[in-house]
Amino acid sequence: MPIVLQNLTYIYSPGTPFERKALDDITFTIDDGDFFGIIGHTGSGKSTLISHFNGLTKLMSGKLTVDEFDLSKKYDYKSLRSRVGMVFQYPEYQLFDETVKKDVGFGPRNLGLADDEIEFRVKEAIELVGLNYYEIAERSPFELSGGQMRRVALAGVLAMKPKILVLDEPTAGLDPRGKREILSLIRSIKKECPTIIMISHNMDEIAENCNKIAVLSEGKLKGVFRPDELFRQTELIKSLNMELPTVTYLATQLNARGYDIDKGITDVDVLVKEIARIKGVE
Amino acid sequence: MRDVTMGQYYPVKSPIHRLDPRIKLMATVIYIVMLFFIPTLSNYLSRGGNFDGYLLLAGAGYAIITLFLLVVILLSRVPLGKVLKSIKAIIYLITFTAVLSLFFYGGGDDVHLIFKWKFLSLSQESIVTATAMALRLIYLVIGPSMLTFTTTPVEITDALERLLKPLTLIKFPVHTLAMIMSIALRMIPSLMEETDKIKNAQKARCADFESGNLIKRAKALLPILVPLFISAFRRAEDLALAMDSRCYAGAKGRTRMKVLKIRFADIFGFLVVVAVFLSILILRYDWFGVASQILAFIL
Repeated sequence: MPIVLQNLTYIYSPGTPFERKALDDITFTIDDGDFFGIIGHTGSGKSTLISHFNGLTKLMSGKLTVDEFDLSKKYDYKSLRSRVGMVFQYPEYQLFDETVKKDVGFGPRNLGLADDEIEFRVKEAIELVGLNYYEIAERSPFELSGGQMRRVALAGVLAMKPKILVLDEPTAGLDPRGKREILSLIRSIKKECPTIIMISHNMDEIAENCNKIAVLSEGKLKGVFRPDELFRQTELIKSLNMELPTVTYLATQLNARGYDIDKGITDVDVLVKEIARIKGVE
Repeated sequence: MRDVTMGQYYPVKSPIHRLDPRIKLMATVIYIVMLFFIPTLSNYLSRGGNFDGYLLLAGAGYAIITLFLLVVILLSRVPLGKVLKSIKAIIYLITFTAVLSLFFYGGGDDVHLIFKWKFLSLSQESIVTATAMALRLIYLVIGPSMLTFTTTPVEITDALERLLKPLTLIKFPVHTLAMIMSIALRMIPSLMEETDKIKNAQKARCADFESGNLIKRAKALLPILVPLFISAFRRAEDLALAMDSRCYAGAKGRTRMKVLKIRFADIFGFLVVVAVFLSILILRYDWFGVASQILAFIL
């Protein structure tokens, strides 16, 4: 079942001089199986928005349903939070336990699962994020490399077997190779966890992975678009101080120079074919 | 998490906000001292005073201080509700103290007894004492809160550094101390924010901080404290490096960007505080016989 937001509004510190509208009347739907992107500049309300999805931020006004959970009513927060896995920015900073195994097992333990089930899930999750369980399980998470730590943190969320995964800038602070690896990891996770919601500032990542994209600006929803729809709107992108994906930028430039190429192309293969077509080579 | 910061800076423009922080700091110290110049009832009686005299003295004293506080609060444009909220932190202490002195005020045989039951007694004296004590505690919190409501931590540290400057003569590291203080103050909101973030991350993994007994709850804090300490050390290291690379070398040769200047309003504000203090002293020590004349007039 999908995530449905209706007129969601959230105000920080109401009734004080610090009062600020973080979310203003947001309405949209995220369907099952979506790879849903959320973009907007810093302070546009992205993080506040996603923290509603697992009940970390309490509903202030409006309606929100996530699968069978109606967040305006009473619900079992543990089952919601195991359904909606949330990976925050720099998730490696949340590691705390002595060993990788114990840290990844933190979520399942909190769910009150049996020991052998925990053991099984931990192993599965560590392997799912592409690490060698036998090599890493008994090591301290603090002696791993940055990229490995991020994977362990991700495993810690996956060990709860979520059906919806929310990622807040999962590639922030990684080198290009680390970024590629994490993204291909996320794509492979999609088999286990069909709905993925991702915040990102990197338009290449968004264009490459997402089938729908919500655009936020100053707490307001500018719309939900398909990638080719969104990146065709050069003016909107410019007004939000964002960049086009590299592929779309190239297509736009070619289009502007009079070549018969659609400027909304977001897929590198499509662009290559189009260039080959106008060049007359197959 | 943010609710715990009592007396957090309240960013509006007001005459009190504009006052020189040194003046406000000194005024706060004087204010605290003067609260203790209103004697307690037992102290007053033991120095040969009588009950009615005390009522007048304490009543007038607290009235003056209340008036002073009200003027400060109104001028500062900090909402009264916000000011009263700062008492919330010590509400239990106040209740406890007041109840104790309400029922356990001994005071010998010549008290105006209202009722007595075994070791518990209630008398006019005990009511007055309890009220005075509660008032003193409340005013002790509100006064300094007004300082922090209207003065940024940076200003307070600046003022402290300037006021403690004479101590450099005896090689006391005033600048270092002020720097440590301002860094610590600067780090509080960052660490709070960090705590919030880590707490949310662990909550997303179904961590439970609210239920269970004391030991269980203390244990539940570990997943917050470990990452918090690690991040605090990382921040400290980064900050030290950043200061080093901008050639920070302590107090030597350091000049200020914002030099504090005393204006007429500052002197005036300070004089008002001194005047209030003097009036309390006059009441207490019966200087010029003012207090006794008023007393004689009323009675």
